[in-house]
Amino acid sequence: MTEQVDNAINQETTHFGYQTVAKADKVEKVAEVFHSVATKYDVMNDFMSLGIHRVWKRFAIDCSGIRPGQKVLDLAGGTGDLTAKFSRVVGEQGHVVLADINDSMLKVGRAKLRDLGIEGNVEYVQANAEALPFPDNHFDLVTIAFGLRNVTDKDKAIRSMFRVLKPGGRLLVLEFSKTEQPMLSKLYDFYSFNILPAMGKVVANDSESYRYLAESIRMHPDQETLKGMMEQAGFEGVEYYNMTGGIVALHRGYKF
Amino acid sequence: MPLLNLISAGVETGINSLQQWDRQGQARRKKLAGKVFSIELKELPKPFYFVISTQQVDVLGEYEGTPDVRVKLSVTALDELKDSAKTTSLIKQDKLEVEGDIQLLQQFAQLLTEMDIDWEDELSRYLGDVLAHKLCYGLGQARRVAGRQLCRIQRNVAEVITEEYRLAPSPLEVAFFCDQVTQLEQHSEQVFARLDKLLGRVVK
Repeated sequence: MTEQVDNAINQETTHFGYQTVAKADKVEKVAEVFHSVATKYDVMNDFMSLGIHRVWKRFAIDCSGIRPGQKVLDLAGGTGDLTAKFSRVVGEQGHVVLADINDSMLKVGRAKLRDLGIEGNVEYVQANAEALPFPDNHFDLVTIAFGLRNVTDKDKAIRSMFRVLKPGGRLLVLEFSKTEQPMLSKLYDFYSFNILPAMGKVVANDSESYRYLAESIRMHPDQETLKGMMEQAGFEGVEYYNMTGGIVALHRGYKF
Repeated sequence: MPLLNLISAGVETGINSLQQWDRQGQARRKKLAGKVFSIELKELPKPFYFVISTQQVDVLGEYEGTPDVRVKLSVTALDELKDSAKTTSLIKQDKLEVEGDIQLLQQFAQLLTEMDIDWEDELSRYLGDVLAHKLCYGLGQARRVAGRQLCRIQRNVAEVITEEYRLAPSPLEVAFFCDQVTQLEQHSEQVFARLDKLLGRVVK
């Protein structure tokens, strides 16, 4: 009986950084974080990663196998870094959907892409990754870059991505991960919990959001666990590539 | 971190920065929009793929589609590509391997090499009109003087080598030698023709 109650509680709660919160509250709390950082998101990304996030994303694009005329879903696409490139590569015959659960991020992304002259083949959709509002077997490529760790039910989201992919399509998950080098790990921890929130305070006047960023990275499944989750959802040929000593990993899986 | 991603990022940033200043850039990109070029430099292990759109040139390290033009060449041949007359000779010299439409390739080379950039105008945004004009004028003068000096030095060095130290023949001597070789070649052909005739008689 007690076990059943514990299970019921566990099913109703999840983590938000190092805190345990009700599942229903996590969406709202994550939304608050991204509403807060949306306007400074690009500046902070460059500042925090010293611009390296551009190389990580570039590697993801190289692994995407995208071609003219294809359909792409850029989930948690935020300010549209990946969407911009996909839009140019798939061309007029192709189609890119920039989806994000957070409307502030979506608005910033849409304004930025329009300023870059990207229009015509890009659509903006506010969507929850756990229940994607797209038909089955629709996209050639689904990407989620630095977004999966914010999703409440990751397994459900991965299953949803599997559903909307065409047979032969691929999923790319670019996400912070676990570094296995002890020295780098110590340095990274110091940077994440001391320097990062201070930088957030100075640049975006918001240290809490960047503390959440550091905590949520630590709570995210490691490389092998995420690989297992993708396989569990039905993906085949799942492999991952560690970058910058495992600070970030790119997982790639196919739907056959 | 993959080194080739860093290289492609650098190349892409460099090209697009220059393309932004090129007054003809957008019109040229529009002509090539949607085309993909695979460029493999012999000095690098993998090709780079250049995807052209009206907005910019994207450089990818991997591309699973079929590029419109594939090129394998050496860095030194890159500048010679814009001259259509040289393309055939580059191919014959094995400096250039091309699969696809050569005209497209030449348009792409023009896009990258024949940029119409008004440096004075660009600099004036940062330095002001007067300083930018003076700087560009000064640099232009310096370039002309340097060009003249270089020509003079080349001439002097050539004279020292051919006339004073006699390490190499002068152009007239080379021309005379070539004439002699041509004459010798003609004489040899005549001798061979006579020998063929004589052999023909002996066999009969």
